[in-house]
Amino acid sequence: MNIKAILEQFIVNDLLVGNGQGEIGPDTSLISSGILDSLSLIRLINFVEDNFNLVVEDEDVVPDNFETINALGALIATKQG
Amino acid sequence: MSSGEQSSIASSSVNENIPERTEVVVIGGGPAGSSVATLLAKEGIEVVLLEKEKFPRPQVGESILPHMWKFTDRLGITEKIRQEGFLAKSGGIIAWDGKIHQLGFSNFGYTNPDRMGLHVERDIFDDILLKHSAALGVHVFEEINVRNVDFSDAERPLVSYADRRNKGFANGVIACRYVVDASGHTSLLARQFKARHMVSEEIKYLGLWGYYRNSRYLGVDRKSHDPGEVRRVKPVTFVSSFEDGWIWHIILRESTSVGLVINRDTVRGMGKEAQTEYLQETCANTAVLRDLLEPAEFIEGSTFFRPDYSYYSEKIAGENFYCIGDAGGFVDPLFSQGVQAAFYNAAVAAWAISSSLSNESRRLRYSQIAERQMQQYYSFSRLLALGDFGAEGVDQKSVMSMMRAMPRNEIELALAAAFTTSRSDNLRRMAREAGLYDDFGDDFGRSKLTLIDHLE
Repeated sequence: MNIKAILEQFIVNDLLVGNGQGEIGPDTSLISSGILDSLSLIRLINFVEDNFNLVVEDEDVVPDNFETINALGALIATKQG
Repeated sequence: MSSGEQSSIASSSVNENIPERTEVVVIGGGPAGSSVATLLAKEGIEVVLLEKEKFPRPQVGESILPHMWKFTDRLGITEKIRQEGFLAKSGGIIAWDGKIHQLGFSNFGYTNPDRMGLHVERDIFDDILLKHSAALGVHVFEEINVRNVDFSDAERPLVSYADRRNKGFANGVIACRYVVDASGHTSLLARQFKARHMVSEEIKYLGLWGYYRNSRYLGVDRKSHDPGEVRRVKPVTFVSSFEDGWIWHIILRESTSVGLVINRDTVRGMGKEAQTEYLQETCANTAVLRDLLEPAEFIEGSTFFRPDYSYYSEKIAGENFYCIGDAGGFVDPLFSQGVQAAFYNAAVAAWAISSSLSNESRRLRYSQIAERQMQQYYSFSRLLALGDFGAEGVDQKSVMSMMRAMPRNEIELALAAAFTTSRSDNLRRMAREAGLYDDFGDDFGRSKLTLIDHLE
């Protein structure tokens, strides 16, 4: 599975359980739309670190990097170098 | 292990033995402690909660923002709180340096009448939360004073306590994996680590408050009402500045909470009687309050005093401990952030502990992620309520990032509040730097405030 598919699966299956949210795509805004609150953001950060074996630094935790699956996928790709 | 002692429900646990080992010890049973305990118990984690007082006990901080409900949903306690029938409030009216603003929750998308802000009697509110923890399997023990925590074995912190139940006295120790300090102003761990600081040497605020019977109140219609009308015309929380600080007026079902936040020097050396007199005189000399309290009588013996308004701790999480609620930091309660911060940080700590229990190898990292998130929240509250003084020890970049990630209605409400007093220039400047005004327009927040000429 590629990075984006893994992210989507985690967000839909683990973060949005019971939230009644509809479909999300690679460009769905996750934060400004309120789909992800700050508690789910923590879980997402942790998932990214654990699953892709990297460290999300403090300065990486800006909404721009987590706003969409595409943006987050780009951050992960950069970090994996 | 005490897994076979499921009969240990809350206050009925008077004669029960406190276990010698458990997974998590929570110190303190206020909203922070009870909610972290409930969230962990819901995941099947064994929790012992030690509370110093016998609940219900008096507590100040009666104004609750409408964001509360998303946390009570998570705790599974929304229905019980609703059934209690606390007073719903519609927002606030703030009279500050001659300007009067009205802040209505409905302008920020909070329109569900079942999910308004509340004025709660905190003894009852906190008791509901703690009983809920016990009902979900948390081992709750009251009248237990925790003395200190020995972290010399990082895998096995030892919590020492004095058992004062039944007017007795016995020392004991619990071994656990994780400790949550939710001890409120006691800030047990922060003091133990010598990590607790006043926000600024220049502001030494204290809280001085008391309760009145039969006070009139300000309604959402900006008019003064008889307390008998409080179910018909929703109340607001009324705040007024005066020369030495500011005053709150919060109507409850049977009484009204009125308090001052002032510089410590103002009442230095005063005894309880003189403090009570100062409180009453200040109210009598302040516009609007004078009229609201005119028919009211002060409830004798209801004067309270708390000296350390506004402190923070530089260390609030580690691989085996978390400090949440007032134990991790406290700010001037001007914008009712306290219970909010308690719920939020409890949820963060619960996530970190439950993740640590299932994946030990990452537990240091969980505590780092959690600490960053919790400090952001405290820092945000500090900048909102304390202005320039609040900036000490704040990582501004981190707070800006949090502001951008906040749900729009919450950040907009906070920024609207930031326009009502002289306290929040810093926060507004940061909102500008964070680009919030670029995104939402120069009037973001302010446009949803109402400037009032006068109050009837």
